[in-house]
Formats: sequence, structure tokens, C-alpha cells
Amino acid sequence: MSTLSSRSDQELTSLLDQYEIKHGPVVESTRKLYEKKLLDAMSKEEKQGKVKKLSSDKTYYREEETETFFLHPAQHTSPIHYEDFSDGDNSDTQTKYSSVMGTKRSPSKREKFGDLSRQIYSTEATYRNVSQSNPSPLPSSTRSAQEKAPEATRYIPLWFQFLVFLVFAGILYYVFANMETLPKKRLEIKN
Amino acid sequence: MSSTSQKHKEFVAEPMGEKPVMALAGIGEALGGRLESKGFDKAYVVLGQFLVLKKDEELFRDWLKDTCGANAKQQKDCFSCLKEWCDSFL
Repeated sequence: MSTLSSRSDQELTSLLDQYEIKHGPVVESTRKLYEKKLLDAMSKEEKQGKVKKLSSDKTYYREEETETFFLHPAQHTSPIHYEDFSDGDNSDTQTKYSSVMGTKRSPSKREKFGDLSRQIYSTEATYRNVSQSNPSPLPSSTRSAQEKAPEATRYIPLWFQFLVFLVFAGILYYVFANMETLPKKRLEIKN
Repeated sequence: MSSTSQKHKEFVAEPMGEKPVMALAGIGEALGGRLESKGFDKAYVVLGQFLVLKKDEELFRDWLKDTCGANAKQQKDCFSCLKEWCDSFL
């Protein structure tokens, strides 16, 4: 992705029109303002994309959890059910895994929604992960692909986020530990 | 109290000519100093920017905020001052 500042005035104008941002001519004094507006619009778009991806991911998880609970007790009663599911939708070797999980019904339904959402998003601008547009038979592969897309566009590295979290947790633990020792000290002072 | 300040009334009453940027409503010494340091040393230069932004309120207020750190009230005062001046003289 080329930086906005390297783009010409004409390119910025067309980008502003693309994002439907009301604007005047892109001149020296207005350039910085429009670059900032475009960055905001782009990051908003990404966030919206992420939220919608994550919500669809959540439905995948939910479907899996509920269906595993149903199917485990039923395993010994109707093993043939799995085979019906597996024959229906997928022909890959990985059907064995998914048959155990019992998520056969959910991908077909979710895929329809996923395809619709993909169609909507494929018309928008450049930062969409291309793998989304390809019909992917398994929920796990789409999830991993979708997770990769937001990862690639993180501004703060992941390790740094974990580090900050650990430091914060450490501080809280230290405070908590100190609080525990205080009453003992008070008792000692009283005695 | 009237909704527009004395500064506003004085500014919109006549052509701005060579008035300094601090003559604009909402622009005091601090903001005026920042604008001057960025090259907007006269009110008409800010007017120029206002016009290039097509007299749009949101764009002008965003620009003002980014350029000199004006708060919402200052942005609003400056915008309405320039708008009214344009309505009369432009």
C-alpha cells in the first residue's frame, strides 16, 4: 500500500470521491486535512470489516459447540447420521474431522450468509483479503484466513500487546500482594 | 447576551482588508499565533482557506482544529464569522 502522501492530487481527489467524502480542491493547504480524512475512512472501513468477520466467526464457534454437545451422546445411537452429512457437502479428506464435530449443517447455511457478505465486501476497496472471495468448504480454513487478514494490518505488533498486558497484570499482582501483607503489619504494630 | 460576540459583529460589519488573523471571532492570541506560524498571518488568508474548503462547515472546522488546535466553540465562532462575512461581501 503506497502512502497517501506519495499520491498525486488527482489520485487523492478520486479516493475522496470513492469514500464519498465531501471535499474541495486538493491543494497544498488542504492536502494534509484530506489525507487525514482518508486515513480515518480507511481505518473505519477495516474496523467494520473486522467486526463483521468476527461476528461471523463467532457464529461458527457457537454452531460447533452446540452441535458437539448434541452429537456426542448420540454417537453410539446413530453413527450413520455422520456419513449422511459427510457425503452431502464435502468430498475432502478432512470430512472425517468435521463429521466428528458435526458441523455439517452449519457451514452450508453459514456459507450462504458468508457468500452474501463476501459479495457485499468484494465491491469495496483494496484491503479485503482475496481468500475471502474464494468459496472455502471448511469453517476452520476461512477462520484462519480471516484471522490472517486482520493480523497483516495490525499497527501495533502482537508481541508488544502481550507484553503490555503482562506488565499490567504484574503491576496488579504486586499491588494485590502488598495489600495482603498490610493487615499482618498492622497486627504486629498493635502487639 | 446576544448569540454573537462583539468581535463577530465588528468583523462582519465591513470588508476585512488587511485585518490580522486575530480579528476573527474565536481566534485569540494563542490560536492566532499558531495560525501565523503556519503562514496564515492575515484574516484574508484564512478566508482563502475557507473558500477553498468550499465554505463547508465540517471541513473548515476540522481544518481549524488540525491547524491551530481550536476547540469546538472557537471553531464554531470562526466559521460563523467568516460565513456571515461572505454572505455580505462575497
